[in-house]
Amino acid sequence: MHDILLELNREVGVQGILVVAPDGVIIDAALKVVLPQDLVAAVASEAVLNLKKKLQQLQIEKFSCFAIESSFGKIIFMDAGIAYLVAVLEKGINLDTTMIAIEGAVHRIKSAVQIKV
Amino acid sequence: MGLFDFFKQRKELKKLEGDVRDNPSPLAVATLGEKYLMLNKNDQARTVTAQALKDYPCSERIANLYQQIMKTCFQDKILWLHKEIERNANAGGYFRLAQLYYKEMGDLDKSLDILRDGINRFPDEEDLHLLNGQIRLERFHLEGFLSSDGLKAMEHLRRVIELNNLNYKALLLMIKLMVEIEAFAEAWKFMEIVRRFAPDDEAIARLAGKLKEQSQTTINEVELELLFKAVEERGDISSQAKDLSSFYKVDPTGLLSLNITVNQEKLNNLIKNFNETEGFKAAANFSPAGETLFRIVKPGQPLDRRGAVSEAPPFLQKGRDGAEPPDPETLIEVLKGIYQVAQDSSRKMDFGRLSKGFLLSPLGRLNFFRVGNFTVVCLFALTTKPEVIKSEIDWLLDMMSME
Repeated sequence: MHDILLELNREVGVQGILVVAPDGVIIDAALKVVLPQDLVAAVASEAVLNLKKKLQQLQIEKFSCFAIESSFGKIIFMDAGIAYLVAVLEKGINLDTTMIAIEGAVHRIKSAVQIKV
Repeated sequence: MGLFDFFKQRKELKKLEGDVRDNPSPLAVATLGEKYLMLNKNDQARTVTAQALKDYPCSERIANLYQQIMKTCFQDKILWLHKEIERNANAGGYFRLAQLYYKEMGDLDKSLDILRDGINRFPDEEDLHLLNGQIRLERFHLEGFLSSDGLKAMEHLRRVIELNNLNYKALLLMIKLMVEIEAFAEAWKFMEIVRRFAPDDEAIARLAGKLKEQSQTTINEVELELLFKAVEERGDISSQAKDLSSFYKVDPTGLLSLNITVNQEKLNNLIKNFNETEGFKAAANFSPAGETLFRIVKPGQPLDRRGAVSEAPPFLQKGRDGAEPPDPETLIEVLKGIYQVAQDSSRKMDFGRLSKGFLLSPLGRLNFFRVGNFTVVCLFALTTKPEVIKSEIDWLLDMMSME
């Protein structure tokens, strides 16, 4: 799985990739040096947990994609089956193009997990 | 370019200029600006977009185009400075490059990146810390008074004063910041320094007179952090602090200095138009403090046929026994909770204020975006095409940008 993350991390504008379990535990990560690893892991984990908590108020257990665009950066959370793939992106990148690369990585993670099972 | 192409381009340009003159809108101006840029008419592109920034301060399209134009205009200078840093790294090179991004392009993020690199190499360089503190202070003012920005501004300004306690600008910025968060005792400490070497400074003398009573109690680091947090939670500085801190006006960068005032009633009326879009479910407008200012919930939620039925909550599953639609209060609270998760993540990552985002879940397609200080959230069925929602949101933002 780590190879998939490293590959995605090489895409233009991608600052870092994490795989977060639904309970907030970080399974794997590949971050560029500019990102503080502990902080990103904590934010990603907390966001997944809090978002699921909010959705559970309406009896919803999962979400497929959550995208945040801010003044100085972007974060994407995508359902990858057993976990969520979290991508931290530069503010200026075209989200549509990068989304395709992220979706590709998600498919590869899903099939890698199925093969292992 | 051949003669035929030349006349074709000129005709197109005349048409676009006519559109802007007769029927001005952010879209028309952006199309004209892009055309100028394509034809290498950079000065015209810059002029028309700079004016549009003032006319349509809410328009993201215009803001992005302006940054693109400025980058094109300064491309050679940027390249030259990058090469100079690579060839012979020096603090002055980092400073000039960071200042170019900051002052000319309003790209605070890029400027902070350059300063971070520069400070790593030259940790005792006063100018780099001062510019960093100044940009963080500007972000503090523009991005909803985030404590992370305020604390960083304080850290860098403190470092400047450590390196040179006669740095007048750093001292004034520090006093201003401390007054804004109502850390008057801390402000007093820096005012004393200024008064020692500039006893004739009338603005500082006046401020000292006003703060004398409130400057006796000492304040520790934890309390300072709490004061920053309190301002962040309020989303603004108090009117007393505003009044006191006006002793020193900070000139923000051209691009980001525009005050966006939003007509709340107009915004609410425009949100009502979402109701006309197929698949619309709910929308709301929230204040910076998270208060619901306006909401609209369509009764009788239909099943999201494209979503997995088994994953959909009971209220979305038509005909299911006991399936009750959610009460609007709960639904709106959840929508608010979702955008607040996005907002918190953005702040903790030091990404500044949330501008927009979306969530795809069995609940539907939820979009949220900022208009001035307000946050609008709208929920559509999963069957509604994303481009339809995008064009609705763009239309609302364009309408908000126009008088």
